[in-house]
Amino acid sequence: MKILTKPEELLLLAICNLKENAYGVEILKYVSGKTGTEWSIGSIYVPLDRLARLGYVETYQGEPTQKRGGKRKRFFKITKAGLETLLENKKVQDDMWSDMPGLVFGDN
Amino acid sequence: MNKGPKIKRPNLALRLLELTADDSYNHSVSGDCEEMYADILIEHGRIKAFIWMWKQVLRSTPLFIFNSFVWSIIMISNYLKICMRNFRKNKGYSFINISGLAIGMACCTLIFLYVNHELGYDKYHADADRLYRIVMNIKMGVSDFGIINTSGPLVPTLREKYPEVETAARISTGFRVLVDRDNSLFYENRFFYAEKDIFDILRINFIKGNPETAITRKNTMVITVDMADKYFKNEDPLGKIININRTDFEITGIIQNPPENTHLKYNIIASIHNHFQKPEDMIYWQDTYTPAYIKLKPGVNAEEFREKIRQIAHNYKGDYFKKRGWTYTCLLQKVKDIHLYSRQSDELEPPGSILYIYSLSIIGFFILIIAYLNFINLSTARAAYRAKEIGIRKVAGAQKSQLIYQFIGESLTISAIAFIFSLLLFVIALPYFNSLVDRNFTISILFRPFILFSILFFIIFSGITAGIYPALSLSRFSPAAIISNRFSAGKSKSTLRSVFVICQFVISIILITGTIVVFSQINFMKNQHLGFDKEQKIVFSARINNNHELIKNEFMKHQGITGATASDGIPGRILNTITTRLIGGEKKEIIMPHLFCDFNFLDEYKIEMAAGIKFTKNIISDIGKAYIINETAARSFGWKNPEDALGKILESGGRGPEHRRKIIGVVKDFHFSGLQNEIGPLVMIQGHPGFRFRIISLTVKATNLTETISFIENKWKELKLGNVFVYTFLDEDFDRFYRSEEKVSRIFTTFSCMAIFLSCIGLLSLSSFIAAQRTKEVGIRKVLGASVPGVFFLLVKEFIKWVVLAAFIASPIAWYLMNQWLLNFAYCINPGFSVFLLSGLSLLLTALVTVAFQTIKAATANPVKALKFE
Repeated sequence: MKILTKPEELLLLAICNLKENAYGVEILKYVSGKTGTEWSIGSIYVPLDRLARLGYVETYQGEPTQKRGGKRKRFFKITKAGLETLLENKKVQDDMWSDMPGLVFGDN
Repeated sequence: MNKGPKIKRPNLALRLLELTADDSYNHSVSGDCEEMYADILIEHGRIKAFIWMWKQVLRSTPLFIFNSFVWSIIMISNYLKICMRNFRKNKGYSFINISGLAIGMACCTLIFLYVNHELGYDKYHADADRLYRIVMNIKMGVSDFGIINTSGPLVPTLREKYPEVETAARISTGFRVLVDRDNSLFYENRFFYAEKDIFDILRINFIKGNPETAITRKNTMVITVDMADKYFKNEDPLGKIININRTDFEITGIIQNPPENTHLKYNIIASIHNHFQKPEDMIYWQDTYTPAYIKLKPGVNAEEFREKIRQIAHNYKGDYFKKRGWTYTCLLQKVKDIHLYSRQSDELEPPGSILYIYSLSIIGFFILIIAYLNFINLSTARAAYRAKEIGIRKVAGAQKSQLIYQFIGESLTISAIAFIFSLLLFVIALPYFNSLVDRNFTISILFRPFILFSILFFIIFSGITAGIYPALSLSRFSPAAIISNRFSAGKSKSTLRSVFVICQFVISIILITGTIVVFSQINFMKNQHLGFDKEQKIVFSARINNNHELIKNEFMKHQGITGATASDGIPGRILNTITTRLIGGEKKEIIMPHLFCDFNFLDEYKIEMAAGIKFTKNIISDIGKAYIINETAARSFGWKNPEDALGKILESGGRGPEHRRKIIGVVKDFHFSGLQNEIGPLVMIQGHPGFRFRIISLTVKATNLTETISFIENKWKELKLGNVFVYTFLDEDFDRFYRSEEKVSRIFTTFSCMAIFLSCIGLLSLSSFIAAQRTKEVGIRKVLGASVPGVFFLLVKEFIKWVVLAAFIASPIAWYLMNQWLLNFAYCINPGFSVFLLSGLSLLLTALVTVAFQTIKAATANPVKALKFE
C-alpha cells in the first residue's frame, strides 16, 4: 500500500468532495480555504500529475471559455484504485491516532 | 459563447508558466490562472491581480521545473533499460560498434597527448614570450649551412650596443665528458659551459646554491638532482670536487632535472671560463663558438630587432666577409619555437617537426572520423529493426522530441561506454606508444584539468553528433506505416552511407600510400650506393700516439679481423671544417670538412678514385704532402673535370708553405653524411708519421663476432688506448641519420593499420547488414537461375565501386602530400603510378576479404528459406 503524501491526500479528498466541479481553480480554492494557506497553481498540479501517473485519478476535458483565454478545463475524477488507497491511508492514520492515550483530553 | 468584458491577459506571466509546466497539463494550468486572474481583477483591481499572478509564477515555476527533472530521470532509466536490452540482443554489432569507437578514441587521445606535449615545449620559462635564441647561417661558396653556434663577439656586442636586449647569455653545446669520481670512470653526456646570466633567461631551478654566484668562478659547476644521486648517493654534493676531463671542478649548486618538454636538456652546467681559454680570441666575427640566448625588453618589437641583427656580423667585419664572398647571417628564433621549427645542422636534441605534428594530428582526426562514420552507418542501418519499438512508443504518446532524446541518449551511452573501454586501451597501449614516439608519458597526464575537460567535451560532442543522424531519421517513421507492415526495414542502398564508406576508403588509401612511400624512401636511403663500404666495420676511438702502424698490426693478428685503418673521422662523423685556399690562379677560399686518414683508408672503405693516385704507405717527400679531394670540392674550386685538379696547390690550416699541399688525386663523391643532404666538398690528407689519429676502423668477418669483439676489447685495454672502451658498427651508426624518418615510418604504419582496421570493422558490419537486407533479392535471383559466383559478384559490386571511386579521389591528394614530404630529401625516390596502384589494390583485397564471408554466406543461402519469411 502506498503512503500518500499530505498534499496528495488532501487533493484526493478535495476531488472527491467537489464531485463534478473538480478542476484546477475550484480545487485550489477549496484546499486553500480548508487549510487556511494559499496554495499555488504549481503546488496543485504537480501532485495531481503524480497521482495521475500512479493511476489514482483520471482526467477529462471540459469546454473552453473566453475567460480562460479559450483553453479547456481539465477535470479530475478519483479512480477505484485511488479511492482504495485513500481509505487505506485513513485506516492507518486512525489506527495510529487511537493508539495515543488521552491526547483528546489535553493531558499526556 | 458569452462575451464578457474585454480583459487584458497577463501574457508574459502566462508564457512563463506554459514554458515550465509539463506538456500534458500546461494548457489547463494557464487556463486556470487566467480564470482566477479575471476574478481577482474584477474584485480587487489591476494591481492586486498583477501581484497575485506573479506570485503564482514565482511559486509554481520551481515546482514545475523540478517535476520535469524528476520525471526525466525516471525516463532515462527506462531508456537505459531498453539500451541494455538492445545490446544484449545484438551482442555482435554492439561489441563491434563500441570497440571501433573505443579504438578510435584511444588513438585520438594518444595522438592528442603527443601533439599537445610537442606544442608546449619551452613554455614554462619566465617571460617565455621575450626569450630568443640567435643562430647563424653561413654561406661560403658551395657550402651553405646553419649552425647554432654564434660568433665570438656577438653576445658582448649585444650587451654593450643594443639596448633592446635586457639580458644575453652564452651556453655551449652539450659535450660528452669523462668523469673521474674516486677513480671510477664514467662518460657523461649533456655537459654544458655557461655564463651565469643564462639562469636569468631559462628557468633552471636551484635547489641548493646561488644562481648569481654559482658558476662565476673558473672550475665551478652545478649538477642536476639525478647527477647528485648518481655520484653522491647520501652525501651533500655541495663543495665537493669531481674531476672532469682531467680538471677538478667544485660543485657549487644543485639544480632540478630539466623537464621533458625543453630543447635544452642538461646534466651539468659549468662555468664558461673553462670553455673560453683566452677572451682575446673572442674578437673574430668569423669564428663561431657558442649558442647565444637573449631576453628582449618588454615592448621591444621583435620583427625590427630581427632585421637589425640580421647583418650584424657584416656591420663589424663587412670587408673581411666581402673579400671572400662569405655571408654570415644571424637569425632570431623564439625559444618556444626551437623544438618544432629550428633545423640547424647541430641542434642539441633531435628536433621535432611542425610538419610532423600537423600530419599526426590529421591522422588522428582521420581515425576518429572513420570510427564515427562507422558508428553512424551502423546505427542507421540497424535502426530499421527498431521500427516496431518506435511505432509503439509513438502510439503511446511519445513526442518526436522525446524520441530524439532517447536515441541521442543511447548514442551518448554508447559513447560513454566506448570511452571507458578506450581508457583501458589507452593504459595498455601507453608503453608501446611511448617507445613509438620516444617520449615518456605517464597516465597522470590524463588528469590535468585541461585534458579532462577536453575529453568530457569530446564524449558529449561525439555522442551527440554520432547520435543525431540516426535519431532524426529514426524518429521520422510514422507509426501507422509500421503497424500495417507497409514499412520495409530500411533501404539497402543509401547515398549517405556510400559517402561515408567512400570517405573511409579515401582516408585509408592516403594512409596506405603514405606508409608505402615513407617505407620505400627509407629503404632507398639505407640501401643506396653510398660510394663507400659500411658493412662489417667496427669503429672505436683510440688514443694513438705515433704508433698507428703498430696498433693496426696488433689487431690484424686476429683472424676475424681482415683490415684495419686509422683516421680522424669516419663517414657520418667528419668534424673538422677548415678554411681551404687555392694557391695560384683565382683567389678562392672555402671552408671544407677535412678528413685525416691513414694510407689504406681509401682501400679499406672501398672508395673509388675519379682521377689521380691514392695515398701510399711510404711517404715520399713529394707526395708526402698531398691532398686528395672529392669531385664536389674540385667543382667548387672551378675545375669541371677531375683531372684538372691534379697538380694544383691548396693551403689549409694556416698560412705559409708548410700548410700547402698538392692535389694528387680526386675521389668519386661518396655520402659522408646522410642522404638528406647533397654531398658537400671534402678534403683528405694523409696523416704524417706520428700523426695522432683518433679513430680506428676494423673490417671484421661476420662469423664469431662476439669472440672477435672481446678480442678487440682486450687488445684495446692492453694497448692502453683510452679509458672506457666504446665501439659501434659503422652501418648502425650511419643509419642514425634515418632515425627520424624511421620513426615517421613506424608511426605512419601503426596508425595506418589502425585506420584500415577500423574501416574493415565498419565494412564487416555493413556487409552483413546489406547481405541480410538483400536475402529476398538473392533468393529470387537464384530461383530464376543465377549462379553462386554471379550472385557473389553482384553483392560485392557495390564495394568494388566504392574502392575504385575512393582510389580516384585519394590519389591526387596522396600524390601532392608525398611529393611535399619528399622535397625534404636531396636524394629521393620517384613514386610512380605503381604506388597508387599498389595501395588501391591492397585496400581492394582487404575489403573483399572482409566482406567475403558474409557475401558468400548470402550467395550460397537456400533461396527457399530466404523467400519464406514474410
